[in-house]
Amino acid sequence: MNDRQLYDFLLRQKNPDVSRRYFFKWLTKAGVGGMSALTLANMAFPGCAQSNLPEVGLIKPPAGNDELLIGVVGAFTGIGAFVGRITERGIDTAVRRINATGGVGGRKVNWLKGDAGTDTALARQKFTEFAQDPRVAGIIFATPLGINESRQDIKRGNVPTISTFADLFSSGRLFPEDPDAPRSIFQFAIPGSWTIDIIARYTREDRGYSKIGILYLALLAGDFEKTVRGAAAKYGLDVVATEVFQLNATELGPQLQRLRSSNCEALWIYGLPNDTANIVKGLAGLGASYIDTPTAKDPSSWHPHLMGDPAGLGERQWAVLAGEDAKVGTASAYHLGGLLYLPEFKLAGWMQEYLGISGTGGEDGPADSYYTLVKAVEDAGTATDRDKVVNAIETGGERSFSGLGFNFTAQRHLARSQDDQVMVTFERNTPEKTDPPYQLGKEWSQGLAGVPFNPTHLVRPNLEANKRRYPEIVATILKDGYGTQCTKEPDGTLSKRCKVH
Amino acid sequence: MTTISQLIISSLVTGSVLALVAFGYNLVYSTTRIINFAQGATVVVAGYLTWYMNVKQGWPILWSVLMGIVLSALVGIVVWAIAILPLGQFDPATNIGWILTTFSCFIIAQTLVGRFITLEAQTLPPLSENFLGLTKTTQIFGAPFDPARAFLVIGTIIIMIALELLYSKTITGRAFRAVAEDRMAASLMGINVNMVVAGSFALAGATAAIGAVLLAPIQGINFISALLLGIQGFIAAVLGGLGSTKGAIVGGYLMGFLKALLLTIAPEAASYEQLVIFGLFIAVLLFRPTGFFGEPAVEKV
Repeated sequence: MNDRQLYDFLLRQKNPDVSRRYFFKWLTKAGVGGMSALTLANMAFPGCAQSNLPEVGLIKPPAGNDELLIGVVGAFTGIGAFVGRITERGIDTAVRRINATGGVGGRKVNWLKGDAGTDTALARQKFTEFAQDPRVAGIIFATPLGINESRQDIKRGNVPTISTFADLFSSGRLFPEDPDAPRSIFQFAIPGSWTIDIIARYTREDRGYSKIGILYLALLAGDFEKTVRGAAAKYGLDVVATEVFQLNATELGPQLQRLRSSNCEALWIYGLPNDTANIVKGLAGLGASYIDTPTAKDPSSWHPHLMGDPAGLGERQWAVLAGEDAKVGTASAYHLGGLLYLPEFKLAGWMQEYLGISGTGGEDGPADSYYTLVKAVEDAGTATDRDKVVNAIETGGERSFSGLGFNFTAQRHLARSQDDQVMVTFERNTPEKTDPPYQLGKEWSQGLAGVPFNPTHLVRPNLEANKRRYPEIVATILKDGYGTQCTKEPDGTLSKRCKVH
Repeated sequence: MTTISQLIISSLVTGSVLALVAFGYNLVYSTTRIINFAQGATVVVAGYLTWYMNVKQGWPILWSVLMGIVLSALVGIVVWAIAILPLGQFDPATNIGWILTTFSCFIIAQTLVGRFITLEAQTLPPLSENFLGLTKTTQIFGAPFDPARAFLVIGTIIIMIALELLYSKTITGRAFRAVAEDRMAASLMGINVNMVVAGSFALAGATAAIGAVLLAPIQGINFISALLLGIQGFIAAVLGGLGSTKGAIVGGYLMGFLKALLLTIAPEAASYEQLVIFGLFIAVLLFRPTGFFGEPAVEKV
């Protein structure tokens, strides 16, 4: 990792803005009212709810302007403007990079901004405007709002659409898992159900726990608990206690007392960072803070190993709020593409080269989404025959642009694979004293030396899967010593006997 | 025993939070007969302002808290100046523009904090630790009671006593009560009604700031909580009786007890907590709209 990459990484870790995942969690909840209103309006005024998009999208070529355009629906102003800035940086970089390398089929590329703020109805309106604009070859949804409401229009118009941040897959709303879903939607967001799966596997196969407790936000009820229980059953985990809490609950005492009675070895927490911090402080008050795996398994005391929500425990913010009560080893799931400091990832360098700025993380999704659409237009040889563009996305094979590779097919509309996932653990800048010891990654002895604590990549748990998909990146991680690594066994494999994680 | 102890502690802590917010509503309602729907946001804005001065500007916590109180009082006055004053003389019962104007202030406050400070959840160091060096959590029959929670409960009680004394023992308090009783008569007696009303908004803002610094070490500061906090505090105020100090106390702690009881006796209750609370709210409005301590309005003919 060179100095610039390290600087980018640190900026991202120390970014004082709201993290995008935290924001999207909030936005999805805040959008419930708007979505309900829209649903009611649609019921009351069905004629207004359906636009008159053509059945097949053979649209007129642009007149007098030969630029290839992509429409981007996002939150560019208002409370979510920082996500809009991430989107803008990613797409601007992609546009400049593509134009600098000759454009697409000799044509320059560009994009149209559709600012939806935090308004679901406006997001849908912007989508409709782009879908009916003959100059636009495809649309990117860089906000979770509006994409569900636009599904029927996307289907009718066969509009090539990329969902950069919304997870349609986990709830079975992505084609071909849902055969009625629009075939022209493709997803870059990592599915939430996968993160639950990898945490379950880590809990059972890596840490060897058998009894888990779940403590989750009441708003997640329904499919969430079903998914968690399904993952637990798959790996032979016994769910010994399930508790819920309200958003921003002041008191969690009764729930924590019952969890203590269950004596669960691992506690999965699914909530926003401030709720997570409140829970962690509550555990400290009960004298139940996590110490290490052997203690978590000891039935004579309760010190559960905390794991859970990437938007709660995977963020640095929960630890900022919990202070000293945040314990090393607290685990969550992430994806390899989040490790921006790795030398293989090109986007940070391009941003510096073309825009003269550093990223704050998350720019890879919009950039790769943009690249996917314009590359499909190039492969299809047309920007106006939407069928051909969608086919080109499905048959484009393995692609790589800003960082991690991705691959869509007719039977797979997800960019990412489960092999992309990694576990992250909360670390302080000095390793806990354990036997056998573990070693913090190279980034901690360089730029992170000034950072007191941070979630960081835990190398071992999904290493074989990561290797299968990205052997070169894993080779760099292992050779240069990025991410937290445990003592190696005599055969060279990384030890699972790490006490903390 | 642990269960009962936990129930009592949870009731006191949750009740204190709700009573503090209900108190803010009452302060404004008593002089204007309107509900300041920006009150929940004022608590959060005060928390962010204090955090900004303490963490971002590096001020000592004591100065940050004091400045947070002053600035929050100013926020209260600004809310009055832009949401109420322009409406002129009006009857809150028939002219309901104040609902929109106070709620708009909520949105404006959120946007400004996001623009100039942050919208990310933050926390403040416990005053108990900073001022008294208390860090040790006490176990009461197996239920933890940490100093931050103890400070919240005690702080709330002190605020209530102080405000009650202000209302009953000082000239300013009498002016507040006079305006609450009859604005016209108070005005004829030489009381500057606008000043008193602005004062009630300032006092509500200052109370919000104290509530914020007591609550932040436990729950953190964030705008997601502002709306919920505002609504639940409002329900507590209605339950106890709008305009009544005793009502705010009883309403807040009763709601706190109900919430804690539900969580204690029915583990699945957390999913339905809002259902129970809002159901209770509707029941109160239907069967006892003046709450426990509110006085029914009597129209003289």
